[in-house]
Amino acid sequence: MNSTRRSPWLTLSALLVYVFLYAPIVVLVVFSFNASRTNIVFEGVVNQGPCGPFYWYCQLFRNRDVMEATRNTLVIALTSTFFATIIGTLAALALQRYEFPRQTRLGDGALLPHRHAGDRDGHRHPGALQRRFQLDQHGAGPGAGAAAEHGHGHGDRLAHRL
Amino acid sequence: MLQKLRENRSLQGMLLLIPDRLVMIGLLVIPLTMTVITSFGQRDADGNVIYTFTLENYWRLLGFGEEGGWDDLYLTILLRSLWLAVQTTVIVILMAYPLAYFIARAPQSAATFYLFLVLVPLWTNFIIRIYAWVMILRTQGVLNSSLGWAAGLLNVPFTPFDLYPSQGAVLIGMVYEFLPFMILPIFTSLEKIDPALYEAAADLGANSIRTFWRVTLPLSMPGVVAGTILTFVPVIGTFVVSDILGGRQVILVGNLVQRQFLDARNPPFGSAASVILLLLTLALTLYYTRRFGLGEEIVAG
Repeated sequence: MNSTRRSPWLTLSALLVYVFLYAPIVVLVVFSFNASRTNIVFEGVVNQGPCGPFYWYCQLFRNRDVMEATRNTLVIALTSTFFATIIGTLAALALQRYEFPRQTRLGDGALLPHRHAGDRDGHRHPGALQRRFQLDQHGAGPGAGAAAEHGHGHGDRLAHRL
Repeated sequence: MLQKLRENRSLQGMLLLIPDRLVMIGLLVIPLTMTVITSFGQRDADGNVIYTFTLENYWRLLGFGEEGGWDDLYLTILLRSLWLAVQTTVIVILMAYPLAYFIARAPQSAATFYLFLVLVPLWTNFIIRIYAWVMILRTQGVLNSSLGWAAGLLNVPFTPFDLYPSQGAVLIGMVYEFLPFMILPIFTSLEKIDPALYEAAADLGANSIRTFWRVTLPLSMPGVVAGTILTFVPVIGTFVVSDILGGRQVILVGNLVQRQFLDARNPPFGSAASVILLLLTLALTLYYTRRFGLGEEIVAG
């Protein structure tokens, strides 16, 4: 996109949205050094024990429950990612490389958003449509499949690849 | 057997899809069917489900109370949830669009960084971020003490805002939670716009405002549509935000369902509420997508 002219109002509004997005995180970081236990008012930086201002962080690493919870989280995150990647890749491969009878495809909720997108937009903005399909070829398969299904020009070309 | 598999491409595809379909059936179809069946059931005195066929739960939800009287408690909760979802979506669009536009107009390298900045808050835990808003909004919280300090400097009287717990706080929390899910699809659709179209608009004499209304905005609508679905639908069902920021006073449909299952121990009624919520969401999404088209960015985003 053209980056030569950028209104200061646009920059300002973008900045404000970023402030909104980061305000809670900044607050969390600041309060993690709070001297008070209750976390209602910031009463100055803690300075306790050997860790000094990082008192709460040391408490965290010394807490057996927290450490165990962290380990459980990691185990679950890794296993679910592992299986989701395998199952998802297989399904994506199937939908991208193989053709199915219409009936099988209809039951697939995951594809719903992508299927008619090109068809609908095609009548409105041919130029944008073309660009989109070029993106689709490299991206998710369902779009390409949908194009073939509807028999558009681009779809015909894509059909050869299937 | 193997030879046959090698030749039959549609069989190969089917085989690849089997794990995905098993997950879908096990984690979506079966639980959903159980919910529907339970919603027609009753509970006994101990909170166990009796599987019968009664529409009692649905009648109660629609306002025909247990003793035949009119009770619009649940309809009020439903309407409150819908209204909150509408408010959230509108505010999120108004905040996300300028930022997405800003990112899309930035030079390539900077845009990547700006997008990264949008994603970072999502890496922090959802519930922790909502608790951070409690720390900001409560009467002695960060917002009021900063404003009080500023007012002290300027010598103006200041009464702290009573923002937490309230429905306004829930709205802020919802907006915060779903903002990134609007920014990303809008950015994706803005980025796809061919720069030649801007040149064409300029050549034809359109100023920047006219170009925005006639070229940029219409072409970015798929992103707005996708973002709206990604925001509106989860807001109706979310219960954590209203639980924490509403101080358990602002009850939404999500809270209703959660409490029927956990506190009231009435799974049939909770299931009926879930089914109504599901049907309502489906109907609204269908109407919306028929009306405005499907935002294909829902996948890309």
